[in-house]
Amino acid sequence: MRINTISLPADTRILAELRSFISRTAQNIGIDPETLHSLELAADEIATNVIEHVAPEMPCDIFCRCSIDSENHTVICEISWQSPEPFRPESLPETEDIRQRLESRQPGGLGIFLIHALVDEIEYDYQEGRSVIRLMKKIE
Amino acid sequence: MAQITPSQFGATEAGSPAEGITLIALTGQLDAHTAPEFERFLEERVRNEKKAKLILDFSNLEYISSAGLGVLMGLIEEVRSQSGDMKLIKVPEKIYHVLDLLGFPIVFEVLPQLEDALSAFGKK
Repeated sequence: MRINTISLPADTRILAELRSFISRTAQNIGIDPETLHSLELAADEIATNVIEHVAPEMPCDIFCRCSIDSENHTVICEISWQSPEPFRPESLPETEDIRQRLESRQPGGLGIFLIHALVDEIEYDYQEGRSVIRLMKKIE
Repeated sequence: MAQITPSQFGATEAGSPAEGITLIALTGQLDAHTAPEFERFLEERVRNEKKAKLILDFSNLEYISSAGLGVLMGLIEEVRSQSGDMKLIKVPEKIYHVLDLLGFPIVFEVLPQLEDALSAFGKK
């Protein structure tokens, strides 16, 4: 299993670097562009959520760990940050809810909906004082 | 942070292809870092310059996240209340995929070419 990591301060200026890190990691194993874009966007949405909702109260670093599980043909992107308590994801809006929010022009919930739509599996964890979100995406 | 290059984004007026219509070209990456700049740009056109019939050319937009889409959502009602609209053209496939996942084509007209947007505004 190949593993790459990066640690970045929780600030919107790092979003391009985070996406670039995932792109660099993925390039070496020939992931198709659509899978790569899904991972970049899902990781961006998580980091944005941390930057906007966690960091203003408690400045933190965002740690990203990408690994390739060749046996299971899966890319795993793990995003974590210092947190006094486990991150509790807001309830996942259903597709119908998102349609209704769009029609009533309420942008809230778009990010979390996108994250779940873009990856095959997502895990929420809490380890050693850090909230962890693990994104898993099958590769060809 | 010194070595980190933030996302680059640009929004520019690319002329008026028909009377009362403003063409806006987007370039680069529209994420939570650059969305505030895009919001200021659009608010200036809509609120101060009273431009309400906008065509947004996505052909050179490389990336968009929900932060960028939120800017469009936040202003669509305002332009429509001024008898205007925002129509999106030349949307790259990977960006259209994001729009489609969220159901944006229900709210926004997404059209292939400038001529299609002008027709939708009743100009051709």
